[in-house]
Amino acid sequence: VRFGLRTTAARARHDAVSAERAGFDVVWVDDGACNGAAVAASLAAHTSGIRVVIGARVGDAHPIELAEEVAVADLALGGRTVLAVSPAEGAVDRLSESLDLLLEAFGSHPFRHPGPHWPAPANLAGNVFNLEQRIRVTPPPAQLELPVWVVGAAGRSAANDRALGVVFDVDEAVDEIRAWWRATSTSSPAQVRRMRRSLLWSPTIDGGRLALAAAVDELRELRDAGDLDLVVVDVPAGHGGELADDQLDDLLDDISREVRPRLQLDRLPPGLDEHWVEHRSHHEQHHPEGGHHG
Amino acid sequence: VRVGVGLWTLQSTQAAPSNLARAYLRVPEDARRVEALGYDSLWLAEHRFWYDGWCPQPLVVVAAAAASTERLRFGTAMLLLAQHEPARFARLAVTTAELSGGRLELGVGLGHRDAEFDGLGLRRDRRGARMTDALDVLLASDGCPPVWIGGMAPAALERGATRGTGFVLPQTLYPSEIAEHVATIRGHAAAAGVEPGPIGMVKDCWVVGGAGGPAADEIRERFRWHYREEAGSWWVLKGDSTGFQRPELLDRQLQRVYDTALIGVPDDVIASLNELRDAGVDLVTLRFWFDVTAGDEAWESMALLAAEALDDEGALR
Repeated sequence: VRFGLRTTAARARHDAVSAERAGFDVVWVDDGACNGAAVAASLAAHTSGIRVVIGARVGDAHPIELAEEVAVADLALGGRTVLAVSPAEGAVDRLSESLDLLLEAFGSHPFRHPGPHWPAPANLAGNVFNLEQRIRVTPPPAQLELPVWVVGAAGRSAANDRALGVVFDVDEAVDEIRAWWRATSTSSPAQVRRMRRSLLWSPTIDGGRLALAAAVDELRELRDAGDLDLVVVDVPAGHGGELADDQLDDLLDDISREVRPRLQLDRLPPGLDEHWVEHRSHHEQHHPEGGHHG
Repeated sequence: VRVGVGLWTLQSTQAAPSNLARAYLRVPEDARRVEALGYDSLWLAEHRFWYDGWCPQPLVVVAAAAASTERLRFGTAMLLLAQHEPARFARLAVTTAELSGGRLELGVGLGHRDAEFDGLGLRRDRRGARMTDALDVLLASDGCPPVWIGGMAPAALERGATRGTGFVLPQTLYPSEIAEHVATIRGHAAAAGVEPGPIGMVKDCWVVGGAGGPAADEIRERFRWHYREEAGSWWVLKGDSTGFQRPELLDRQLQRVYDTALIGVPDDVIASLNELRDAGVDLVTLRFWFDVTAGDEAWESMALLAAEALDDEGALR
């Protein structure tokens, strides 16, 4: 299981650097009050390996503009970009069309999209000179297949229909994840193998630190409910949308050293868990002030 | 007069194929190099739906490159504002301005290719009204960067001068025409009761005299090659034909482009820059960087001029 961190535009640089240093695989920035593609691209200079998810609402603006922004961000990031979409407020009925246009736009061939909301090219009255019957959105992303994922239950059938990655939102219960996984892996077993499955997860903070044993148990259950590939850590509930830098660094450290290793295999060989516990208590003895390893 | 260089367009053309993934990764490195040479700013441009991949979202590139530099400013000449959704674009501009620490100069124009508007579901003949709307949304945004308007059509003058924006003059003006255009802009601003904004200008440029670099005639030929492709494909001449379908008109119209380029030894180019300053130009973007010139020869040419012409602030000495 890979791990990611969802952050805000204002904190993106600090959090992306911290997450990469802590061994995380993914940092997630949202496209909203700030432009997500620009924030993602600005991380190119400060990170070198971590993947950058752009979380974008679609349906309220022309998808080609978003496709161009994401393709350029992917080029700036050397092919490290993922696009995670969810429907904008009141725009669920435009999600499928948005996805189809985005997927066409990330190809490298001319296409014609029939609409209904965004026919492309539109061949409008008044546009007359040297018009195209099919358009080519340029440039294509750096990646041959830029991952496009769909966030939340409202878009799940659109994701299923197109074999796109799914992201379970923070409010989706484990039983719902299990039910989706059972149904989809039964009905479309070949397709479901190509769909990455991710989870936005808001951890419980107890006395200022992550409740480790509970987190491991919770994530093991979630992992196995949907054969999850990626857990994206969202800001813990009750922290007003934000953690202080040192709290965040503690959280990243706890997840990378105490949670992540215990989630990778089906089981651990006898003695390994105890070895890790011993290492932690040894570390805490020598660094009683807390703080991070390394 | 501040001196910037451009235009980073990220094209892979028939004449100068390049790997776009590599070209994009090199922009932050290019920006550091431009900063080290002492120029004021690095400029990009926008087009879309074209065979060579011309960058359609230059501000996303600015966001990446600004993070690798400290002093250098970034500009667009031009960004096609009328092709963007106004509110979404205003957020992109403000985000980029913030990410760059206030180092963005936003030059905006209408765009002219029907195919670009049509691909986005827009009518080209309504681009003026859309431009006005987008400009108002942009200028009303908290954190809006300095805005420069391209073009000298009466509507552009009116739109910019009444809002106090800067202007980017057409590159094809002869020196004798520039002062007249500057006076027109200042007149419009005065009539509207606003402080006139700064005046910018893009000039095609090449400095010869380095060891082994191309001669002036060779550079003129490369510029000609570049512009014939662009104008031949895109310009509409006599109302109904593309440039390539009217070769005699194409070459006549492009003659001004070739004649107004600044090509010469450093002293020649510096003399021209002084002329521009005297005519009222505040910022000149020297276009050394074309598909057909990008690379070592352009770096040498830019370095020759920087050494002779620039002060510590990236302005003409």
